[in-house]
Amino acid sequence: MLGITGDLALRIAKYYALAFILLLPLPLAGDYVTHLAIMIMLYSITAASLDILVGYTGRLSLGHAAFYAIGAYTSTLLSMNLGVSPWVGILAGGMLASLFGLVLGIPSLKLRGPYLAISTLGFGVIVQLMLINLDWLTRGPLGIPGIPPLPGGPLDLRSKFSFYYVALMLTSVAVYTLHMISRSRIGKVLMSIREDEDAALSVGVNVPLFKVLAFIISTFFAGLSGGLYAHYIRYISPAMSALSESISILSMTIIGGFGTLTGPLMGAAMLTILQELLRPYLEYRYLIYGALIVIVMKFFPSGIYGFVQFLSRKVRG
Amino acid sequence: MQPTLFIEQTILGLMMGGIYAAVGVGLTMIFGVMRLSNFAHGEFYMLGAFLTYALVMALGGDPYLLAPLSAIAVGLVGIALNKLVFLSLYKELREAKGAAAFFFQDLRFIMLTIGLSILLVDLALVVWGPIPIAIPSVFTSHIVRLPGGLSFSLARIMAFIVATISLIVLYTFLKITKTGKAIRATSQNPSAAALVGINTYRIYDVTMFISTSLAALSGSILGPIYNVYPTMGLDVVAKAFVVVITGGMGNLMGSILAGFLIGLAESWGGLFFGTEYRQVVAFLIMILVLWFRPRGILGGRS
Amino acid sequence: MPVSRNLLIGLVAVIAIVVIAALLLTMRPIGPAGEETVKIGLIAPLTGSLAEHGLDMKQAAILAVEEINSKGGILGKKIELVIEDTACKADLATAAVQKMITQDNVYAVVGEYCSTVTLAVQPALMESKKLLLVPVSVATKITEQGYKYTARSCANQWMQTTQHADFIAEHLKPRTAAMLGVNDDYGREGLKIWGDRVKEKGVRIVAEEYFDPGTTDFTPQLSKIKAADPDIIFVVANIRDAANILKQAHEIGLYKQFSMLGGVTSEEFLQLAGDDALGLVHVSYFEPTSKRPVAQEFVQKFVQKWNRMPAMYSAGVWDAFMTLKYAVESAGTWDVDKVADAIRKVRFEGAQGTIYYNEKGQAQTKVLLVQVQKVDGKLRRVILYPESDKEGVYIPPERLWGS
Repeated sequence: MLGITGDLALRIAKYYALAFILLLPLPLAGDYVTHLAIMIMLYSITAASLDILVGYTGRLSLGHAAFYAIGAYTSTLLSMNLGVSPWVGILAGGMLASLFGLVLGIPSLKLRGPYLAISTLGFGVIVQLMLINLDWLTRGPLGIPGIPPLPGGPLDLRSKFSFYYVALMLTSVAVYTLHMISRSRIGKVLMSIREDEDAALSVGVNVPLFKVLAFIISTFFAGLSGGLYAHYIRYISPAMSALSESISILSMTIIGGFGTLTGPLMGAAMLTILQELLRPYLEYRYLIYGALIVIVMKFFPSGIYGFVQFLSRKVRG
Repeated sequence: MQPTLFIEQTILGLMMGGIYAAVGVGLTMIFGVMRLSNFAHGEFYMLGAFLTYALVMALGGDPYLLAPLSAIAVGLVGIALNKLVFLSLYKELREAKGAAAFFFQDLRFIMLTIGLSILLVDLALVVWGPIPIAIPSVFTSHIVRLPGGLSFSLARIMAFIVATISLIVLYTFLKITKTGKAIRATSQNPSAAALVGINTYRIYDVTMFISTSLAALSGSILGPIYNVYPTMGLDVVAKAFVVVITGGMGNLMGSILAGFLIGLAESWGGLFFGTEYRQVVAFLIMILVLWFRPRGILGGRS
Repeated sequence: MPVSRNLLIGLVAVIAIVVIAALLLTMRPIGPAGEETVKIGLIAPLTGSLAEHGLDMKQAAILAVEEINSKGGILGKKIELVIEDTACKADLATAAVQKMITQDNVYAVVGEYCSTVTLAVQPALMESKKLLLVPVSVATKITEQGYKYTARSCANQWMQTTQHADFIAEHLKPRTAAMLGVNDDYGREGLKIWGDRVKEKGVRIVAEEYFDPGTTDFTPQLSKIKAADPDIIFVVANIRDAANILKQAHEIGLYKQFSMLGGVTSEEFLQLAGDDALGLVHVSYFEPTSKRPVAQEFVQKFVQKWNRMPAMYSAGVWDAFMTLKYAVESAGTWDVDKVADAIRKVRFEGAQGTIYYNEKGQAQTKVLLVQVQKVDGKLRRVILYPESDKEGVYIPPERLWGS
């Protein structure tokens, strides 16, 4: 039904298993690198989930951080106020985020290009202001400190070392799932909508249904990674839903290479690491950062992924 | 509620609307002609204000007299960037086929201008420092009192007048002059415009000049009122996009109308729901408008 | 199968990026001579919309470290300053602090400006037993969570706001008040504490308005306040917004008594607001005009080095470094537990006055109340309260602006 053969699923799974094994010894590099790796993984889930919406369906979103924030707040409030296990909370966060995705997805069906982008931008701002203004529920703009860590049985998931493996496992599963979705019949239909909406409609594709579905899938995974973030950093604030956060997620997706799913992973890794490498330059670093974005987008429209492909073609002649 | 409060709020809302419209018009023009969503638009507004400040420091005199100079300078920067960064992209798009190509181009433009915005904000921070700067002007300290306890500073009224005049000039320019007609033709159909012998790439440069110098002019006339600092452009660009989208992208009159609509919505929203909900009301109005008219109030380019 | 090959290329590239970066990031030199110096981190917003305050903090930190080192360091060890920019963003700040803990192996971290960032980095620092010296963030919660390694060298929101409210209610005796605050943690907490406090003293709150960060036009809020006709208007805002609020209030004909918190104590504020600042009553923890020798020495050194007057935030950072110096010296060891105890026992003359801490690590600094007045044709802050520092008398707005 999904249009994926077991063979394909297995073959892709092998690559993920390989990556998983290769990344196992990373925490030996110390807590700082481990922390960055964890952040890269959380961003990877979010950027890859945005890719379903942007890269596959051609629906531009400038409010993706709102779903990340909704996931984080849901899981936090459930576990702190109602004593729900954070594991359940994270799942609930993903579900609530995708409910909001549905709420945003339906009215924006008719919107295209920049109209959709700015509407989602508006949604992000509204979510942020609601998190600030509804302080009886969200504790207002100061945010929520003291969020419980993930319960890990014998493992202390406050330590970066053990959290890394949990995150690695969950990220592999989440990104693999997204990958399968992108290769399934759903993914192919979404791509046909991106290529030509009217043509897809004329061959009998239920375009509105699939557009909304893309929103639901994409926001679900954004919510999940938001929940993970909340229980990892153990502090959240309404700034999570700010426009600048949405823009940095979008940058990862586009600069990495949208519509490829592996591209956003590269984008998340590259941009996070770049920020760190540029740290010593303090207030001068955004000159370099901004210029690099301009250069990559001017010369490699398909992002870092495209660049890597280009290199590998060159190498093989 | 006191009627004077309502009247005052309405006037203030309309004045804000005028500012939104002035910043939004350049943004909508660029989109209309080149299909470029310029997320660095606010940075030209910021550069305009800083250049005016630099001119006041170097030459002396009033910022309102030096504003046109700074607007022209920023306009030239706009043309340079257009040639340097965007020109090859327009050419690529000319040859591309299919609906998806336009979407990819949108994404690329958005990312490029976001990168440009990051770069320019940091450039201003490095050159002029982070501390907000007040530009002295004789107009800011003059306050005009109206009957009924209403009063406004002369600078604000000046800003409103300058914005209105530049909009009228722009509108007549587009309606009457040859270049203006060519811009409108390019906006409606670039390939047809090219066929009738219009040099569309030159039109792109002209449009970029008009758009960036309008933004710079707004920055120069608002700088003395609100002070000048590196992130001032980021504070206006999101609102400018909301205005442009609500009006219909590429639609000049739509943007002006939407500017006033959003200005009023914020004022009245703050009055009735509390000022912490001002922005929520503005964004909800936009979403409502788009619900009924997916291409903005007056309809924009697809 | 080209699709799988692309996938392979992609995944290998991701891993290659991560591994190369991990090598680059870990192979950074670990400082010149590990034994001779102690590293202290400073986190501050050096970019973004709050960069002006980050500059105050950075300049004071550099000055403080030079001062300490020029006098032989602390217990014979020189201080090495590690500065990181946070842009007031929690994710950048947590990465910066993680780097300071693991790579730089800092002894203590001084920061941050934004309370939300301080709260975000606090757990990681506490768990790795690093001192967190908070010089600016005012959110009361920071020192209320029972962390042993946290100390704050400035007055917190509760201290400054209640003392401010008491002064207003007792000395200015308004019957009604309006409140205007930035719609973030600073503004919300400030308005809540102040409103509750003055209500207890019988003042009626007639308007409570907010503006979002990044707002430049405050006339809609001010027009509502004007219609409510309060005796006094309490504002919580940073210098940029505060200057615009005063300008625009006068523009729409709102000439009432304004009062603000400590964030506006800087020369740049007076330059931005100009004569519109006249009559403003606000909190200050630090007056550059103070006649105390320690404060004068600090001001003189700051002006000499940076060619500008130090803002209040600079004084907070300076005192944070001095707290560390005196605490380590009185503990006689760098042992972090003993130093944390010593912080709660030291008492010294800092830029802000006599500094000593309570059990929670909150400095018990003296709060000054000042009014902006014209002295010899120049704007300056005149201390109204407490009596011991009093420099002048309160001038009501009617005398400044007429009726």
